Amino acid sequence: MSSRDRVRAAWIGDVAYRPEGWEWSKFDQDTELLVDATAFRSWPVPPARGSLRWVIFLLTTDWLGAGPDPVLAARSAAAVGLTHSLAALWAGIGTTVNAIAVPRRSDLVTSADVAHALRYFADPLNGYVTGQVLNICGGQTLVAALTA
Amino acid sequence: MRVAAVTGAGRGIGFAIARMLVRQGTAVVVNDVDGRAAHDAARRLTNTVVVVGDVATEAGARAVVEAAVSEFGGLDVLVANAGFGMMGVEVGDVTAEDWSRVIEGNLTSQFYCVRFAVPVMRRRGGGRIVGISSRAWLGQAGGTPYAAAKGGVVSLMRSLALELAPYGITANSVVPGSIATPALEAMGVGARDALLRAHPMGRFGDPDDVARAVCFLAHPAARRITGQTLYVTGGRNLLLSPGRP
Repeated sequence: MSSRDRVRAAWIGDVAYRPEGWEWSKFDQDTELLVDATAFRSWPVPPARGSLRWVIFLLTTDWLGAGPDPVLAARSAAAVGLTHSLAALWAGIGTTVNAIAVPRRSDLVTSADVAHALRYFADPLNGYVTGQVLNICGGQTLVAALTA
Repeated sequence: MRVAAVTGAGRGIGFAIARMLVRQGTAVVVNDVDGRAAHDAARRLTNTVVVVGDVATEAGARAVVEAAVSEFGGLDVLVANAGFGMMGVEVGDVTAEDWSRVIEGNLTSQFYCVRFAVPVMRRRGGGRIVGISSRAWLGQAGGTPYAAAKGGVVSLMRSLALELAPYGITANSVVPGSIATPALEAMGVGARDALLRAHPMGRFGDPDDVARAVCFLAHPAARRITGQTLYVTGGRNLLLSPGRP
């Protein structure tokens, strides 16, 4: 990806939420996508058609509500609500909104695992998947009802 | 070389999945109950072997897995796609025969394929199972047997995910919405327009949208993604009332 493409990637799609312990710099190398969490604050709402191709929230599986930290659970669940709502609102203007949920602390899931999903959600060809919350947890959260 | 088996690969979504896997360098067992469709599909692809048969029978499912082993040396990816819809029948008019036929064709077929595939994948040290469900699993008026079968697919994959995680085998569901296949094209214009209005994106999906989802989950890098339900619906599953964006 050229430097110009990287700038464009930052303009057309940015990641808005970063849980503690997950640094975006880890993903830059794997995904070749420039991500800039600060750009979230400068989004036009709603974005102009074609100006924002994708939004990807990264949150923790605490959104399922069983984690020991209620505040983090609430923040993560709020990101899920945003994912569903913005996906429905912006489906008609060419913006997809998806979320990746990871365990807060885990040796099981690595940045490479997350990068694979980032590449998928950020694929320009992949415009028909929106509002998805993908739990990358090796199946650890499957017994929680909300994961269906 | 990675080896995949795709059931119902003669046309539509199944063919798109087989084609994308082949383009990614995967050898593919092309299965369909329609022999002409299966052979036509295989002629348009490279590195495939055709197995004509009904995977809603144990013999048909076994033949698919055996072909992967005998022709390509094993099986890494199973895409259980074969199935058929049944819509527009109120529950009181669904016969016991209808019920059994729809459950066998859409759910039991996936179980048979999984049952034969898992031992082969375990010997290989891992694998990927993708079951094709349907948005109908969320509930479908006039489609109770089909919805129940496709809900069964989601539950089957989630159970497999829990059971097979220790063996490096993942299992996930892909949930297509309204995909532009010949079956959808065959609808009347009025019905198609009404359906289209229920889609937030204002368009139907493409078979390649489903194929990309399958290839994402079937990829070696998707090792920690299991038991998930991936919706390829253009956001239709997000709506809070049926038929209204």
